Amino acid sequence: MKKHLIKTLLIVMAVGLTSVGFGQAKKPKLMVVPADAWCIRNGFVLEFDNMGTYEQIPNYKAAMQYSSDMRAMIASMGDFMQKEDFPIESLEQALKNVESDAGFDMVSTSKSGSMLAESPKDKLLLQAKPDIILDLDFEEVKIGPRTAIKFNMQAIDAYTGKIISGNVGQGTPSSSIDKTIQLQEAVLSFKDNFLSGLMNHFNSLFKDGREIVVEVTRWDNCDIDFEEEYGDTELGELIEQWMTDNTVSGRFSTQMATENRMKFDQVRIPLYKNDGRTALDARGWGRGLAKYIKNTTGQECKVQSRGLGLVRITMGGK
Amino acid sequence: MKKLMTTLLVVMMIIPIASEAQNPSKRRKLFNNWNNYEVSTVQVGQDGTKLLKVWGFGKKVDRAVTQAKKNAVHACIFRGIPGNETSMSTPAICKDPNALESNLDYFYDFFETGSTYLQFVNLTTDGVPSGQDRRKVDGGYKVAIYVQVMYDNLKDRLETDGIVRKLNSGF
Amino acid sequence: MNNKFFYTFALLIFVSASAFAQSKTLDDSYNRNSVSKLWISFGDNFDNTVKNAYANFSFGEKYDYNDLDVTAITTQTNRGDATVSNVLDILNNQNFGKSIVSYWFNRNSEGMMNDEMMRQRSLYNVNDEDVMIAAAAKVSNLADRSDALIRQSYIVVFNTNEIKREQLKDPKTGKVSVLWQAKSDAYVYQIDIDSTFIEDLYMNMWIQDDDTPEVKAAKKQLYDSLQVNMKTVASVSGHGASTVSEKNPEESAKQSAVSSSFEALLFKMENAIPDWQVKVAIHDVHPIRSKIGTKENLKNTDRYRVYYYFEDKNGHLKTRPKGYIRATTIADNESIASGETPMSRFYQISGGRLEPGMLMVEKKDRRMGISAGVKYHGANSFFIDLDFLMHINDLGFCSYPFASIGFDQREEFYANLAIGYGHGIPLTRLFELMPFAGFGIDYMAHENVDEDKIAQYTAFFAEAGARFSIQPVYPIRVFVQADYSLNFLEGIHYETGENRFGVGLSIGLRYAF
Repeated sequence: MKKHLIKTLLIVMAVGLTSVGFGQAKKPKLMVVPADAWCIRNGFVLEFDNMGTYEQIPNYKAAMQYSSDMRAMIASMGDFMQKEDFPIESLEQALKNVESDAGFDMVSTSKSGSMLAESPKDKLLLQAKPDIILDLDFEEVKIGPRTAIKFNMQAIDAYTGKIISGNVGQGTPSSSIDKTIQLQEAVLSFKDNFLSGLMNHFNSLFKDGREIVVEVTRWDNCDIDFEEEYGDTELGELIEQWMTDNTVSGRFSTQMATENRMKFDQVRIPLYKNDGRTALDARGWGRGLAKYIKNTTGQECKVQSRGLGLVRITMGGK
Repeated sequence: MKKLMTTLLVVMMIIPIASEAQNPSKRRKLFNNWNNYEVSTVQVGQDGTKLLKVWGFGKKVDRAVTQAKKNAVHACIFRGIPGNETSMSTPAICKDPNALESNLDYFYDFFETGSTYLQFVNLTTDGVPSGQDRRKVDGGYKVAIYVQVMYDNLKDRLETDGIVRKLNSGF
Repeated sequence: MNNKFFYTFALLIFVSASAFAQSKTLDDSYNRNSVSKLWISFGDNFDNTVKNAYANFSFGEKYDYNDLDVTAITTQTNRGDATVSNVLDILNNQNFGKSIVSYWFNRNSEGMMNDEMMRQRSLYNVNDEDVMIAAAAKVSNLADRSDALIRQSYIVVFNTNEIKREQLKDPKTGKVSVLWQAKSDAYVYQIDIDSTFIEDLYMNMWIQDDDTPEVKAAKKQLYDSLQVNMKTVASVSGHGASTVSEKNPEESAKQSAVSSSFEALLFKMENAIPDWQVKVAIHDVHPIRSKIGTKENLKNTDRYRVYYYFEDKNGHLKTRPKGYIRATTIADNESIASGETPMSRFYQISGGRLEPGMLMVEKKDRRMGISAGVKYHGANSFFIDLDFLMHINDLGFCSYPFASIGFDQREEFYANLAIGYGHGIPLTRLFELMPFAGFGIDYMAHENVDEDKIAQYTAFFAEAGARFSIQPVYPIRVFVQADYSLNFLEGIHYETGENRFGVGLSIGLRYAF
């Protein structure tokens, strides 16, 4: 009896410890990125002629090199996030990594003409893979002799582009205070609201999984379409069934379903793979679907991703 | 042996009931004081702090000031603080609306007069509340004080004590 | 007589008690006021005299000064015809309001403005609590709170509307004396702007360094076409007179009459304009102390009324007076508040128990008291005293120089005039004992007394005694007095009536104002 009790206890403890160890989801990465509006307003842009259309794209590198204000804001945000044990990914480091990528060319890649063309921001995000982008905009407004800092900091889920926390406000006008202090004040002003938004987002992640968008399409030369029947069921239905089985609580929404294309949004995928350790992103999750389609139809599938939250599976070849 | 086990069981059952029932009138009083008070942000505070104007009621001015200090900490934990034109609002540390009820003993000890909550609040009023911030009302005084609440420290404490989750918990 | 005395006494108590019972709501904020002063030139012979009196008039440390380019306004009307509304029209026609705004913002001919003076004044205006709160804030904006101060800008126009020379002929002796009399008004106008005006000015008229030339020109033009009006807030009057003598010749007497007509104007203006009355919290009691001093022109004996706030049954905020206090020891606080501002001391002269945090509001009085009494034994059967509170110390000991006139109807009619000094010793807040001493001249009325023979019907006398008083309600005191008087140097025709000197016992009332 006694031995049995001890054995049971040991098993319970082992299971508990394992579940705790395995239950740790990968910590989301956060990165502060200057808002496009801020880059344009402050002249940190690259300009080019896109087939007759004048376009401006943010020049993050110049922004980080020359704007002490932006660096001060990021440093202040980094400081408080560090205290929360969520170090902010360094934008400067990410830029260096992207630069070392031989294929990186901000201008040419952004106008490749492909539907999945990646903007410099997309490329940066793919390289750095932040889960949450902190899109930061601020400006100095003059009120007679005084200046105040007007800020707009949005925390955006990199997977869906949805705003997790919006923080818009203006600081204390002053004519005698150092601007750095005013910038720090702006950060302190939105800090707790931002952290609260982040907490809500994390709670939602733990509860409902990560939200992504999934597109399934076919190459023109693919023999089968989504109305092809396997057994008594169309391929499209089978895909939806797979989605139900492989999303958290079967949560997704079919936005469009035709014979050539299916699009799902609000797809809630688990935070990590079945092993409980490996973080799962849209691309990784999409591979599972691609494998299922191949097993069902025998067709190879190409898996492409855009950003972290959109995956496109193209049936009919890689 | 059986007797011993029975006694132990009875004691174990009684202890939580007794602690739950300690000073029920005091507890009622502590919580009743939180039914209605005003709090507002004055300005963005120094790092890790909130600069608030908060009201409190008491039979005497001193007691009203003590209550106002409790209210300031209570607002940070449970209510959140509205912002103003130069500072954003501050969310409550405990988002769970049942946090107080589910941790009654903890918060009773926390808010007992002269207790833990005092570590997180600094008075920035010059002397006692004055002018319109010191009002005689039926049964006592209603006062407003300016306080600096150590919001980050308060949050850390509640996280460490397991009352609220840390931002990184689960990761 | 007894009935009259009773009714008068009851009326006084009722009036005073009613004053205590009123409850209104006072604003508890006080900001420093800034003033510009002007005088009216009528182009007559008195202009120089008025100008001198104007130049010597000072508002003291309590006010900031907006120095305008002009010091006088001219009018075509005759002296005496200028009114408060005429003058307002002149100020508005000449856009004095805009001159004040330009002064605040130090505006130059190119239209550039700066906030240097605003910041200085803003810092000088803050109190210790502001400093403590600012220390807890990330951005201290103590230097950026001048917008309210700009709205408290005033112009005081001195209008000496009457200066006259009178010759008085003594009907008996035929001697002629010359008396100069003057009446001066002070018209107080406040700048008529609100917070939206200042916002508009900041956004649309304040030229920034990086504005384009077109924007700069547009902002300048907008400001140039700006009209800023003044509004009337008070009008007070003062009188002055001076007799010509060998030591005080015509010009000097004229100047003295005009100057003295200016003397009480500030006192009257401050009593008429609530924003000019200093408001501050009682910081400590035992002794009563608060954080005001020379910066607020606080002087020994200055009177403050103490109020407390309460909420009525409907939750409306009201104020109720609690008592009066007088300044005793004055702190030198003429510096920017640091959180450790020195405190002045006060002594409570009436009312109930005061507590820290109650509001003190400046309510200056003339520091005078008038007493009327009847004597049951002694030199005067009826007397009137006029005393002046010259000083009060931390313990409430008061110095009162006084003048007294007395009348005594015996077989002959006696009138006397005395001056003296009393020292009030507070026993409690209600009771005061005042030992006093004085001397005077007693005149025995007699028919057909020539002026040069008056001395023969007079006697000098000295008196000393003590007055014990109770203050049932401020500003009334009921007193009993015991004194001893002694006559000496009697004129040859002077006859001392029975029991007119020696021990005297009196009873009476004193009214402070």
